[in-house]
Amino acid sequence: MPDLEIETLSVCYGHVEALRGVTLRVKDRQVVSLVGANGAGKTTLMKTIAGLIPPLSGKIRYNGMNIDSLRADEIIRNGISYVPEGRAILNKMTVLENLLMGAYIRQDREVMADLENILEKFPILGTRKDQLAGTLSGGEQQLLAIGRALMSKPKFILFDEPSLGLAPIVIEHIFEIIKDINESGVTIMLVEQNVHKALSISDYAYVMETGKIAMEGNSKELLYEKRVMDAYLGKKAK
Amino acid sequence: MHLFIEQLINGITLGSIYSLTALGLTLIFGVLDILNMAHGAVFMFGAFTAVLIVSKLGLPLWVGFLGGCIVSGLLGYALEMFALRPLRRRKNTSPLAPLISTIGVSIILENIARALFGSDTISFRTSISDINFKLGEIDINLINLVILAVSFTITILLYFWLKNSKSGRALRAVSENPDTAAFLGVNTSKVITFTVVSASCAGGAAGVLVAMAFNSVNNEIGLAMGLKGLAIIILGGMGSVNGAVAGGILLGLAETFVVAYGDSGYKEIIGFIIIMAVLLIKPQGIFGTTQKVKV
Repeated sequence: MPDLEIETLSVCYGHVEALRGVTLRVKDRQVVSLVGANGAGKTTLMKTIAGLIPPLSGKIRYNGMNIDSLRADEIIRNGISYVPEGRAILNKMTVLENLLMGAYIRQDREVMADLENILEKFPILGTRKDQLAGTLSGGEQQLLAIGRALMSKPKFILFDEPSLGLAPIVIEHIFEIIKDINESGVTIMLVEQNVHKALSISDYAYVMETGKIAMEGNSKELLYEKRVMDAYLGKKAK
Repeated sequence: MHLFIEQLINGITLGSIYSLTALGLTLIFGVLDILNMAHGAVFMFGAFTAVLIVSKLGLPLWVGFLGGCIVSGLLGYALEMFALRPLRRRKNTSPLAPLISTIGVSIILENIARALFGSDTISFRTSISDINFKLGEIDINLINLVILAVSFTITILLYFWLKNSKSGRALRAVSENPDTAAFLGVNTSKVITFTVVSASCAGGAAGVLVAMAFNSVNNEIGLAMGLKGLAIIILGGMGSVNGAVAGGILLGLAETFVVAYGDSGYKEIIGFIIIMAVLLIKPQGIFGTTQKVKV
């Protein structure tokens, strides 16, 4: 099964042990969300999966294969794409060039056709395609980051705080898109501050607290669990 | 009027070499965020190699030119492997460490050059050194035209490669944000090595062209050129390709016109006077951009 399995993962970020024995599983074609207060280690976990931070100990397996010692450029070649917090758009490149960078790992001839599809799917990117990406609004940049991730034809996407700093109407739109992507067969791991939204679109969820998994369960059930809110606000779960 | 046009051609010729030198520096600054203080020494080795191949071995000029590029490229590779990469591998190194490391390499290379080539100025006569022709009133040296053609060709190829090719885009992505480039699938380490090697090749090419322009080479041109290169990329805007080209041409023209119409004593400082003037008005350089910090 092409699941993502993480086993007793520990990661040091600077001198701080940001993750302490995290174990979780993202099943194929599911949306799994990861919620928790600031500093709980969610972004560190995403960066570690994406290959940007080396783990201290523990295992990350994808498709049954160990991927914890791979570099970031090898992770994406295994079908895992990353939409980071803050979007990490290449500001000095045009919208089109950003999308082409998304297809950097591909050698096939359908890149141009996929590019057309993305520009059609996100028409605002089409009208701005020759503009420098740094001039886009926050919402447009988020669309660009998602479009860029899709250009690699991923099987799995890591979304880190896709709603951060966006207007409510734009957030609705972004979550619609994430749902669509999942329905097209892409597995999704979602880190969100917006607990309610995250739980409402995900199948399963993990709650993180100070580098550990504090709770897990079906998203629908967690929605009514008071302790989730406590964890999110940084209180100790009883 | 014809004197003015002659000086204009001389200035642009000199400037085109400066641009090529600065281009290498600005590319390395882009991907590594360091000033490569060994660029001048690499440049000098390119020049010496060409002189040896042409004067001592009697081979044609183009062989000397290629030889100069190759030797400089190899030195660039060594610089990356032994002086830069080991520092990147370590955690918590000072951001200044690679800078100091390149200064070390430049001192080593200059001493090797002194041992190999001596400290005298070696003259460099080529088959096209003395060919002049007149275009109306204007005297033109063939060698200037050759230099212009070669340096502009390299610059233009580099420019379009950066702008339009997949690998050029990858280089720009690494230059803007190495982490982002990496998670998009770019092997940043390879791109950095490639950049240092090709920037050094371009530096070597510029070295050969300078030796052709001045009919000679000595082991002080490295330091002088390295400093001018730094001045140009500060003037043009750090990491900016357009800035390196424009800054180089500007400096070449300024130096030539100061000698022709002013006092030749100011030749070496005119560049720095321009830099001070530009930086007072635009501290980030002509084409420099300020980094906007988004929260």
